[in-house]
Amino acid sequence: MAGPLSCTHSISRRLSRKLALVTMLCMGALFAGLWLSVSMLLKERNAQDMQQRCELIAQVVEQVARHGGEAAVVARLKSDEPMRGRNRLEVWTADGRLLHADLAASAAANGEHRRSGDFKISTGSGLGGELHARYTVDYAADAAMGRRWALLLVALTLAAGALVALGVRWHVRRELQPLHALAAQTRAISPQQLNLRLQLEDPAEELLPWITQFNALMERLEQSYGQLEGFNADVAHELRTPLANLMGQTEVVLSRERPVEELRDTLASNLEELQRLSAMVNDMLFLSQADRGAVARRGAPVSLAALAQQVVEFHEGPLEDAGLTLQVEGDATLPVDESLFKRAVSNLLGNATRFANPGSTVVIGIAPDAGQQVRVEVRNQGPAIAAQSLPRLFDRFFRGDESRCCDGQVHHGLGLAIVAAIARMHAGRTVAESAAGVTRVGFTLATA
Amino acid sequence: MRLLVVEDEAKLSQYLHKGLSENGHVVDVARDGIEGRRLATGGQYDLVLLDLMLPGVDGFGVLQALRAQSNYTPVLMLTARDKVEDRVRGLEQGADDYLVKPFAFSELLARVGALVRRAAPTGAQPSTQLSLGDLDVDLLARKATRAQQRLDLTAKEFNLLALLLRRRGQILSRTTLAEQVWDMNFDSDTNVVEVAVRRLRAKLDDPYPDKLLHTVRGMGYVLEERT
Repeated sequence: MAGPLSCTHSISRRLSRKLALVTMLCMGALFAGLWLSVSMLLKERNAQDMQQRCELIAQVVEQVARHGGEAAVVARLKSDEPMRGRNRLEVWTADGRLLHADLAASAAANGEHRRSGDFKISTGSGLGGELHARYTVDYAADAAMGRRWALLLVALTLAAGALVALGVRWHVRRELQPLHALAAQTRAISPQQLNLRLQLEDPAEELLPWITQFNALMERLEQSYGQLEGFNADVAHELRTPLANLMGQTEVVLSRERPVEELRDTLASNLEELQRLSAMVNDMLFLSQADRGAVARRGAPVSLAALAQQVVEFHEGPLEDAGLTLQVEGDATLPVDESLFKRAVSNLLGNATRFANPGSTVVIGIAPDAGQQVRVEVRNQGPAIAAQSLPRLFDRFFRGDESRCCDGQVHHGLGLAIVAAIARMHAGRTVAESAAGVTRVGFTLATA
Repeated sequence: MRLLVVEDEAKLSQYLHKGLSENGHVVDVARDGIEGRRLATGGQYDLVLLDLMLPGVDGFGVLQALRAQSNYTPVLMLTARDKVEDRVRGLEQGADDYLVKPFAFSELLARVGALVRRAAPTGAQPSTQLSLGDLDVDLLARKATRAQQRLDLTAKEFNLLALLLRRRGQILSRTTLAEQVWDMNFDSDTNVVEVAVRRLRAKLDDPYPDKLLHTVRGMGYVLEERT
């Protein structure tokens, strides 16, 4: 068992962080694009605006220059100065003498956010025919607004990110709430209450397969737990009877003086009983090894029919006693654990001998089966086995009614369970059918 | 034969000592791995019966110490662990055979006999003509007669008789018979061996006043003359 798991992250935290990041990236890109395009538009408009102003100034100066002299021009330039606000106009004569310079904006003459345009003013005949002018526009206000706007957008982006993070976290938590319910339900399942199953009123699509699988797992677990409990009870029962016999018999014999013959008899009888116990314990150990996943040690490929024939020779006596004829039909060559294979066939044959109609023929059939398997079955004519008993035939200690019969032999009811274990150890399964007076019991083996 | 039993479980070593002594062996018992190693490497034994789980030094350790000094005394491992790896490891390290606990004493006796025979071949050619009382068996011709009358036996019945005759006087368990005659290396939950013996007896003993094939209750069968 692993210790309690420690968490290094939470889905809701992770999701909210990631979604917030994505939101901020998207909005950031969007806003940046917006800001850039607006500022470009603004720049273009400013350039147009400056050109218009320059043209206007040129017209006005030209008119004034045509009708007045230099003094009139200077006076006009001066009188118009307040109209230009923070913008600055400088005018030179063609030979480079400064005619006029706005004072107002000279303070901010070296600011960054200015743009200058040089242009010429034609003055006709006066003032040397031409004046040079420079118009400098101050964009500081625009730039400040742009900065404020950018700040606002960044703030908006951050706020949206935070909002998304909080919202996602809340929603994810709410949506994952059913997991808490499931955890609580799982906690309630204990060995005493294995029948409990997980259920949600309205399970999400994502949770449904998980719940279904968990419930299926619990189903299997409950089943095998039940089998195990039954098995324990069966084992205790099976052991109790011979133990009681042993104890009682020994007590009675020891309670008074007995002739040696009688003592020897009792000891021999005890020995027989003990051997049965030992055989049962060995078989249970074998089954538990198979349960823990022991796999058959397969040798070189052998003819299954030849192995079956050996088992048939082993059973020669009992078969003849019961007046049974035996046939081996079909064959397959594969690697198997020979000893285990013979053991399985021997158990099947022992069973068939007990239940076959006297004088009938018992068949060991070996044939390929679906899914890379070879099927080995023993067919005998005899009383039908009830359909509901068929699946339980291979259960430990299962005995159909009719198996408490016959030859006075004690069969401890593990024979077919061992066949099932041997099939499992060869990656195969068991086979049981009973119809029209013919019973087929057998197993399959994976071919490799 | 001189045998060494290395076994820490008191009841088991006690009955091994008793049973083996009564069967004509001289038996020393070591109750832990260290004493076992000292006795095994120091003494001259014909066979060592070695438990795997021992206090002090475990069975593998004793086995290693023994083989390290090129002592090839046959070793029969007794193991409670029914694990294939243990057996494989034991055999790899030089054990000659193993027996999984719990075992029948007759089974142990048979294995001990087989190991000692294997280690010390008599050199004599095994006879193909065996007889007991008025029973004669020709192993080559596969012919069995009793009082000059031919016994009509199946192949397996002949093998069964031959085995019992070769090991006359020894009790052979059902497991041994199933293994030696039919090559079935498992405990069968059927009465197959009983039936086979009964059928052999019907041909061998029933027509004659002197019975040769005897059942030893709870242990197995023995072929011998009883007067």
